[in-house]
Amino acid sequence: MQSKQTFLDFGEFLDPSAQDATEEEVAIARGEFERLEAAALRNRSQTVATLSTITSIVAQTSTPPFSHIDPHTTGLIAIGHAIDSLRLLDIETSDLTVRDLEAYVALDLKRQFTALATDRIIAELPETEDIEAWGKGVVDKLLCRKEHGSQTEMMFDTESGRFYEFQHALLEEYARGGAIYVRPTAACLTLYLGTLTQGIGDIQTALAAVIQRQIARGEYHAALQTAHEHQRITRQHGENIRTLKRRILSNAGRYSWNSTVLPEIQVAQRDVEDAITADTALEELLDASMENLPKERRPLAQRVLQVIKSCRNAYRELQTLTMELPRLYSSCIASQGFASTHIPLPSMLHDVFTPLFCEVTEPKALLAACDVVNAIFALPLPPVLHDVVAETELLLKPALSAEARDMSPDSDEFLDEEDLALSIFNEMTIAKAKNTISSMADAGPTQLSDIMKTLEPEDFIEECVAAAIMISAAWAHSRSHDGMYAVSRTYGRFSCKACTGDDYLVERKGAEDEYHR
Amino acid sequence: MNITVDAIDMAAEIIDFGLSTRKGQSSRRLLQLVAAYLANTEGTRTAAQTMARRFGLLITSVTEEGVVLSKDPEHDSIFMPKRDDIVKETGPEARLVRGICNAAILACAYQRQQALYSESVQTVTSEEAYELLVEAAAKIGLEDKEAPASIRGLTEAAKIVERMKADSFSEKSGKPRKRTLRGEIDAAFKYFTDHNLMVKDSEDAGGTYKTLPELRVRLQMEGAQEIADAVLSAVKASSVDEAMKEAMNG
Repeated sequence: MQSKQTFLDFGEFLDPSAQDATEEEVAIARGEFERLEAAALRNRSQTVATLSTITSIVAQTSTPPFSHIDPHTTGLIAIGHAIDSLRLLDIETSDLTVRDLEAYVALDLKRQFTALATDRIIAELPETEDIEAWGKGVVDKLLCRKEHGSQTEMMFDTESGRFYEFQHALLEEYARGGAIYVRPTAACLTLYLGTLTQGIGDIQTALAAVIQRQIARGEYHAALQTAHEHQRITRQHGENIRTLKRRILSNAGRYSWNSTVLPEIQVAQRDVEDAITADTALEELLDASMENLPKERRPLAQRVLQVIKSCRNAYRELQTLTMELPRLYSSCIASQGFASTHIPLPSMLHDVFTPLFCEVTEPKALLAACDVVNAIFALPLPPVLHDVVAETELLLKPALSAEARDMSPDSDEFLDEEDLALSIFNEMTIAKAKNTISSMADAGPTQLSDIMKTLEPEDFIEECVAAAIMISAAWAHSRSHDGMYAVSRTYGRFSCKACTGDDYLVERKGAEDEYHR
Repeated sequence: MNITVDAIDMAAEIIDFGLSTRKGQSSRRLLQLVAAYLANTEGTRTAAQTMARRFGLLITSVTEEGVVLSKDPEHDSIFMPKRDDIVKETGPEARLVRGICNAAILACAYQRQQALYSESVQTVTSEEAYELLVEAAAKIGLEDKEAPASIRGLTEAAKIVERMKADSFSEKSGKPRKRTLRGEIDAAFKYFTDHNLMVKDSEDAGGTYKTLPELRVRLQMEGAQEIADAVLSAVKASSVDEAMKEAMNG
C-alpha cells in the first residue's frame, strides 16, 4: 500500500511534457523521486531520534517529586545555556564546564520545584543535594553518557532496506588544554534553532529583512528580540564551519574535494558574504534612523546596533576562516596521506580485550601482548637533568653570618658520614626534617617520597635533602632512624627539586606493618 | 628548499610542545605553529621532521589539540622512558597486570569502534574497568564446567584477576591497596593522568576519568592497530601451544 501511495504521489509530480517519456526514463525518474523520499524520511527519523534524548530526561520509573518535572523545558533550557556559552567572536571555543552546566540545571529545577510547591502538587521542596544530583543526571543524559542511554541507535533505511547505526547527541564534551568543556553539537544547534528545512544562510537573510522591517516601523523591542535570534544563528553558522574544519583536520582524505569539501566551502563563503552585507545594511539603517529617534528610544536602538555589530564582527572572523579552508584542505591531504591505511580501526573491546582475556592461554604470548599494550603509552619525555654543581653550591652557601665566619666543623674526627653531610644544614632545618619524619611515621608506615611530598610544596627543599640523607644513612648502616623508626628499601624512587634517589619505607618499630600483612 | 631561521625556531617549538609535560591550554601560538606545520611555511614541517628524527622521535600529529610525538622505531632516543618508567615494579607479573588493566581501561573508554573516530571526550570509571575484568573472569570460570571450584583451566589473564580481585582498602586513606586489582587499576589510571592522556574528573565510581585528545590520536594513528596485531599473534601462539599439548597427550 505504501509503495502504491508513493507511486501515485509521484505520478502527480510528473511533468505533462514528459508524457511521451520512455518507460525507462519514467523508471529512472521514479527511482530518483523515491530516493529523495527515502532521504527525507531518513532525515525526519534522525531528527526524532536526536530529540528523543530530551523526553528521556524524566524516566518512566521516576518517582515524585521528580516525576513532576517538565523534561522538555528543562532540556531546552540546558541546551540554551550551552548554546549561549559559545563565544561569538572566538567561534572555536566555549567556556562552559560540565560542573557549570550542572549548577545551571539545578537552579532551573529548583524553580520548577518551587512552582510545584506553590501549587501544592508537592508537599515540600526536595533537599538541595537531591536537586543537584538530579541536575547532574539531566546533563549526563544530554551528553548521552554510557550509563544514561546510548548515543547510537540502530535505524532502518528504506532506500537500502537495511539497518544502519546512527550516532547522536545534543551536547558533547571536548578537551581544551587539560580541561574538559561542554558545547552543543551541530545537530543540536540545527534542531534548537529550528532551521530544519532552510539553509542557515537563507534564515539569516530572512531575519535581516525582518529586523529591517521592524526598525522601519519603529518596533525596536521586536527588533532586539530578532537580533538576538540572528546572533544565535550566527553561532550555529560558526559551529557548522568549525565542524567542516574539524572534519578536514581529522581526516581530509575521507572527503572528496569536488563533491563534499568545495561545495560546502562555497556555500559557507556565500552565506557569510550575504550575512556581512545584510548586517552592514542594517547598521547603516540603524545609524541613519538613530538621529531622528526620540531620546527615550535611542538606548534600545543602540542595543540592537550592538548586537548587529557583534554579529558582523563574528562573520568577518568566519570569512577569514572560510577563506583559509581550501589551503587547509590541500595541506591536510599532503600531511595525512598515511591516514587511510589505518582505517578501519580495531575495536578495543572485541579485537583487543576479549581475545586477550579469553583466548590467550600461553603465558609468554600474554606477556608479549601486554608489553605492546604498555609500550603504546611510553611517551617521549624530556630527560630530567640535575645541575649537581649548582645544587651543591646552594647547599654549601652559609645561611648565617656565624657559619660564614667558620665553615669548618670543629671536630671532624668525631663525625660520621651522616653527621658530615648534615653539618651543612642549620639546626632548624634538621629539626624540621626530623619532626616531619617522626610525625608522619607515628601516624602509620610512610615512605620517603611521601615525606618529600609534604615538605616540597612548602618550599622546604633543604629539609627534603636532610630527610633523604638521614633515612638513606639509616638504611645504609642497617640501623634505625632516630632510634625509633625502622627503615626498609622499596623498589620505587623518590624525586624532589634538589635530589632524587631510592625510596624507603619508614615505620615506627613495633607498629603493625600494614604493607606486609 | 630554503629553510629560514624562523622556520627552525618554530620547528623546535613544535617538538618542545610535544615533549612538554605541562601541555596546558592550547594557545593562539599553537594555532600559528599548526598552520606553519601543515602548510610547511618556509620549510617548518621539513625542519621539524628532520630534527625530530635526529632525536629518535616521530611527529605523529600536529593539530590544534596539540602535538603528539612517538618513538622512531629505527632510532634510539634519549627522550624515551625506560621500561620501569612505565611499570615501576620489576618482574613480568607487574607488566602483565598493567597490560591487562590498560586493555580493560581502553575497552571501557572506547567500547565502540566508532568512539576512536569521534572527537568527543570518553568517560571511564575505575569501577567499570574492575567489573569488566571480574565479570570476564567469572564468565570463563562458568564456561569451564570441569573445574568450577578452582581456577584451573582459566586463561592466564583470568587467573591473575581471580587472584587479585579481593578488595582491601587502606585504613588511613581509604584507597585500594597496592597489589589488589583495584589498586592496580588505579595505578594504571595514574599513569594516564600523569602523562596527559586522561584527566581525573571526580571520585565517583572509584574515580571517574575522561580521555584527552592525545590518547585518541595515539591509538588512531598506529597504537590501536599495533595492539590488535599483538593480541592476534598472542592468540595464534596460544592455539599452537594448545595443539602441541593435545598432540603430546594424545
